[in-house]
Amino acid sequence: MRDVIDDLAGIMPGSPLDVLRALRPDVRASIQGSEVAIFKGESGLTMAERHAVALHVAELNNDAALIAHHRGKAGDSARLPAMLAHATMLTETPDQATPEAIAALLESGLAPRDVVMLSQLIAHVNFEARLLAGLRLLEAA
Amino acid sequence: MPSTHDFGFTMDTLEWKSWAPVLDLEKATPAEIKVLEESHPKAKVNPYYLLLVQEAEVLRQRSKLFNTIMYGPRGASRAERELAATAESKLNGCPYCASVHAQRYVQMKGDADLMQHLLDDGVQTPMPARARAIVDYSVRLAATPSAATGADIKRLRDEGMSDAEILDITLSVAMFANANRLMQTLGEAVRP
Repeated sequence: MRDVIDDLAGIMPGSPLDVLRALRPDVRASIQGSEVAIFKGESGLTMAERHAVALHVAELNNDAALIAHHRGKAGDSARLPAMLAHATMLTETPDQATPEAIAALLESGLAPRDVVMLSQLIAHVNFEARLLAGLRLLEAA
Repeated sequence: MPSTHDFGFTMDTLEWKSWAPVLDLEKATPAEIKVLEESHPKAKVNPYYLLLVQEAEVLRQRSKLFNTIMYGPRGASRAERELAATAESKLNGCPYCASVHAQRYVQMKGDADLMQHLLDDGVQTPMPARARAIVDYSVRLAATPSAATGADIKRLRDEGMSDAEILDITLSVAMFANANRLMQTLGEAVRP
């Protein structure tokens, strides 16, 4: 099965990268499963908020394909700035994490499971950005 | 400014404390118990998994991804996957991740002295050429945005790595871009 990474990296069926990725079918299946669970699953975070946070993480990673993937589905909300600030810290300076940052998200009205979803989403897009970067290098080299 | 690096890096076994409320195992649904059991042998007593299982399907998919990337057959050796993961964990400042994966590296017949120096002195510590090429690629790919280049891929090939092995190292780095960020921002390492 194809996954979101194949689409974003423009991997054509039968191409060298397609053959290489076919060695790890469980990777493809669980990346696609993660993508669906994070962006289509039921959550206290709206779809528009989830795509807006993903767009921000894609921008911090300077990944044009990931940016295009989320841009049209992103939307604003009153609590979005706090989520974007959290995404910046997680993506660029995760060593600056504090319990106060999590407490602030909970006090802003996010349930514990919403904090989990937000963190998983940010971590997932950071995963995708490195995999895409590595695949492009393998294709070009 | 305080940093998660300040805890220090060790190969000793550490514990982890959540900064957000975790699931009470007595209130877990059968589906949540199943996801925990699929995720890790000790997930039912581990606050990290009891936190993440509050989004059970996201954890289920991520655990499948993590386990196939780190433990799947063939391809890059498990020791070299663990080396990439530990170097990135040191770079990002995740002492808990680094302790777990440094131990696994040594268990997989990796070089214990090399790993101790990596934890003590950092990713620039001297090491044999193949390990050097893996660590250099890993820390550059781990940067935001990625700073890895075609020259990194060429060095790995020159060290005898196949593209299948390089893909596995890439997957390990991508997975720890994810794992470090969850571990070090949702809670903290604790000495038992």
